[in-house]
Amino acid sequence: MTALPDALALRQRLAAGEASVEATLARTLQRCAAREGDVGAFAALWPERALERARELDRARAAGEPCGPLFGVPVALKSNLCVAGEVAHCGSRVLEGWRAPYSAGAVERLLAAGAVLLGATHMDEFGFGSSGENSAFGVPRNPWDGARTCGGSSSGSAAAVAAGLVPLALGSDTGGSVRQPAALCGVAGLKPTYGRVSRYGLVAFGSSLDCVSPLARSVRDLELALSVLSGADGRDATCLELPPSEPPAAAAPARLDGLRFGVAEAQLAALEGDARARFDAACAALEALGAERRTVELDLAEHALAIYYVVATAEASSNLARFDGVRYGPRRAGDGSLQGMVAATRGELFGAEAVRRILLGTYVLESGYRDAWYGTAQRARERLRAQFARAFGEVDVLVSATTPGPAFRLGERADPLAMYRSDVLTVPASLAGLPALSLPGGFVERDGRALPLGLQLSAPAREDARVLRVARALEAARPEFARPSPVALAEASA
Amino acid sequence: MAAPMADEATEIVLATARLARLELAPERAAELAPQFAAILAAFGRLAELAEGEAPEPRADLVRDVTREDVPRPGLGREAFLAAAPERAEAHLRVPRAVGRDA
Amino acid sequence: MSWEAVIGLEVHAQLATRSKLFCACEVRFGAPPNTLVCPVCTAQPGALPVANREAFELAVVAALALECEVAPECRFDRKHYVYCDLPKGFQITQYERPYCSGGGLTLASGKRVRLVRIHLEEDAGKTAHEGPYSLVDLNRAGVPLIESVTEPDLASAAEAQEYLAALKEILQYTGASGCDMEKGELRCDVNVSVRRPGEALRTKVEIKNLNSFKGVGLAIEHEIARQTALYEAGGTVAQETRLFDPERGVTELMRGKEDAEDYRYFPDPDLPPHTLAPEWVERLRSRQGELPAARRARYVRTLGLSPYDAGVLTAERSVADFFEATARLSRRPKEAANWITNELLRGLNDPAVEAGSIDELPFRAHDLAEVIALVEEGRIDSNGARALIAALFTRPGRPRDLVRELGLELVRDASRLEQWCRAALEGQEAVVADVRAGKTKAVGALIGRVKKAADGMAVDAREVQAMLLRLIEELE
Repeated sequence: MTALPDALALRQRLAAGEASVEATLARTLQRCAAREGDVGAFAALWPERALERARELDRARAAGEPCGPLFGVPVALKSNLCVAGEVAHCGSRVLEGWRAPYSAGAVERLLAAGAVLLGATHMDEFGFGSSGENSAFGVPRNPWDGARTCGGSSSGSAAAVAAGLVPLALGSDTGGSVRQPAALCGVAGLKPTYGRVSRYGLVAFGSSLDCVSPLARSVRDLELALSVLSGADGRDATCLELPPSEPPAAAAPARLDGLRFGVAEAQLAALEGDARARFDAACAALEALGAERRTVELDLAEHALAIYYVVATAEASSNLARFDGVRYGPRRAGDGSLQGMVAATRGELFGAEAVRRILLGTYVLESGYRDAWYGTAQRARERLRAQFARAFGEVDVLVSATTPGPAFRLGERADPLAMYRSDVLTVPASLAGLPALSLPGGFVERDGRALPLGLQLSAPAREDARVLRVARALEAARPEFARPSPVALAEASA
Repeated sequence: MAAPMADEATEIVLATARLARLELAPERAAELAPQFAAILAAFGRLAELAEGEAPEPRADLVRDVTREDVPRPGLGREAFLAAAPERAEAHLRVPRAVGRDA
Repeated sequence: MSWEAVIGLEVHAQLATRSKLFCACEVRFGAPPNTLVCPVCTAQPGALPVANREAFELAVVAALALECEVAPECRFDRKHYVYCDLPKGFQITQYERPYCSGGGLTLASGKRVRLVRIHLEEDAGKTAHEGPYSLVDLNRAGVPLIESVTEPDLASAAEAQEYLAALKEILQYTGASGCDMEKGELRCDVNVSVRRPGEALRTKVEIKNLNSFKGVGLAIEHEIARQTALYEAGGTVAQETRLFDPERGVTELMRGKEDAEDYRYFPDPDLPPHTLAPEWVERLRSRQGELPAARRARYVRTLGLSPYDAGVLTAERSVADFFEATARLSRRPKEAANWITNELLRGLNDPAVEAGSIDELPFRAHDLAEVIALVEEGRIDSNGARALIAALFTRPGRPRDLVRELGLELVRDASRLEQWCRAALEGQEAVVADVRAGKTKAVGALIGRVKKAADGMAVDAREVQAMLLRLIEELE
């Protein structure tokens, strides 16, 4: 699919000295700046920092120092990942102007691997959204059709990769916030097993759901990113004590004989007509590789959206209680009292969707309602996990479409509930903490343009390697399921 | 666990906003109320799951994560207060607080 | 018409850890404001809590000493409210599944005070008010606390103070908490109600902001009087929270607490549950050490101290440890007890002395043992020992060296003593006559003249007296 080199190929070239990091980075920065007008992926670009870093890396390589696995690779970061000294406003006015005083664990690992941090990308405020439209600072446009959204909440990160500006970007996935924009922008995105990557320094939305998640143009880049990002971190008590995952295998598996993949029929009902056809074609491709298709029962999946929104908004309302104008961010005076200042600051600076979610989350935690709402949702969540475990007793991976249809038009999903339904196929894996990946799965046409769709693969918790292996096999066997966006094609030939 | 009627919803929205320290103009609360009610009604399907047995606790659940009692240097005052909207030399400054709520 | 008081205490004690409960910031009283802070305790976006293992251990040690039942597992919950010194907008505490329950302690009077539970939680920062502003210092934010809640078993202000003292003693002895109220390591909220004997419980009132033993007593007494007066006037007592004003000695309604806050407790998703395995709990029993009552009994039984002295020496663990070390090294427990109760503890109360506790003194148990040995050897007398100890408060050094330096050594040289005695006898015919007449005690008046003749060198009063008497005989 790639006219432009993927991260691994770029890294090999730079490590071999075939091009300088600085020159490559300078071109990358030019491209990013040039595309701010139409794609608008970046909330902030860090050219001085990046170029200085690039020069350092070139010096180190010339001095014979070993090159890390992401040597010289420019990486875009969702603006909810802390980078010391840089903005991380999370798409919210409540953090406008704030600079993080420390760096996230994931960011530290990128730097240790030799990556170059390029800038912060636009997102739905605090992760609340599936289109990028809930940002206070900018809404990225889909590189396939500028009148359409990129999906969300990692909109800018998906746009930057899909537009050919960077080979690798980090986002966060709580209910689909990396998988869904990856699918709608025609790139690959991986939500690792919950706890595989440290959340320290990722501004929290749903603590029991958030995962730092990479986006890239190739599946092997996702493998590469995961091998760099994963591993224990003593500063995050929910981070698993697992060794970092393996770097990408040199070649994709040629066959998937013996692999059993499960499809939940109930989930197919959500798909738009032609999306269904593309999904069937993808399943047929897996079967052609020797995999066996089976039907599984996941009847709780229909409640997953409700379970997710109750749990996620409850946790979010709690995590956002710290935004009170006392220690950082802008402040509004209100009636001049402390409590008034807090209420005025929050009331004025939070966006509409953030207000909605904080209200919902506060409501479902109120004593008197807590057991009926939050308690029920958590118990149901455990039962859903058990259902997944039973399903994985019969199949090795689960397969579904990532979204019900292709990217939708800006302004099309004004009703919050309609927007929430964009997540219906991604939310179950989030609730169960499973590793889930979306890779390009074909195209449909809307308004005379080709729009990408995504195929979602998930596996039992901790089986990230399995999901990556199957994805690589499919990617290699069906290159026609993916292609560069029109913007990326233009960038490649520029 | 029924969702509120649309007219009670505005009152509930205002009360919840007070609890969440979100200053909401009454018009905005009235605007939000039907959305709030509709969302809760949609999620009301969870009631169907209220009767289930509580599942077995998972064996692979992470537990017992602690750290050693070793002090380490932190941010330091300047790095911390640099971002403060208002400070008084060594302290954070806010409008005079009345009493703790707890 | 008699009324009885029903009182319960909620005590917050700071655990004696080196770092905070959920982050690695140092815990240190008196540090300049906002210097012991990090992303976690200042609630920076993206920061996460990780529990301090030592805090769990100390909490369990305290629970064992208080005879509580340690739960097989526990969790942390978030308690939401809004205040300028609560950075996250919630406090991490334990609501549904605290780490222990039950337990209690028995007062000296024999009265049993039962505990409902003890739980772990983090402290908030400190707020000071200045004119139209409040100033916030987050050094304390995140400091580990245990909150212990009693049943309403206490019946008077005095009993409450006794309970508090006993609780403090146990927490100090086990090393769980320093319990220094002046450093804010021990704070107390009180619930008070009154009723006629035999009645059901009436409305209780919560009093907050009590941070001295005296304050606890005064607040309770005032509140009992206030409630009694209200009932006797035919009124009712409202369930409310009041603040104690130590200056005026009264409780008054706490403003701003009109609506009950909904704390929206739920388990903190950032903190996995903790297993408190029985074998691990049992191993911690050895950390508890010997509790104060047992120690007192041992001092009386095996060291021969009076119960009073045993009480004074065990009032603080550091003093008891110092005493035992001194007694062991000098093999003179009674002397050690004497010097500590009379000289050391008195010296510590002297405002001129900088050290706040026996551990901060510039000399150690082996130094005191050396002083005792010097007296045993006859090198100095008790006056000399007193002077030596006073010197040790301000000038560190080995006692044997200081004795020489300060000229405290008793002069034993008979010829010099004789010289001074002869000098003292000059012109003292009246005293000599009295002594010859059988009033040997009269010679005491001359001892001062001998000391003066000795000009600062130390002399043994008994030896001087014997020599004077002998010389007077010889003068015949």
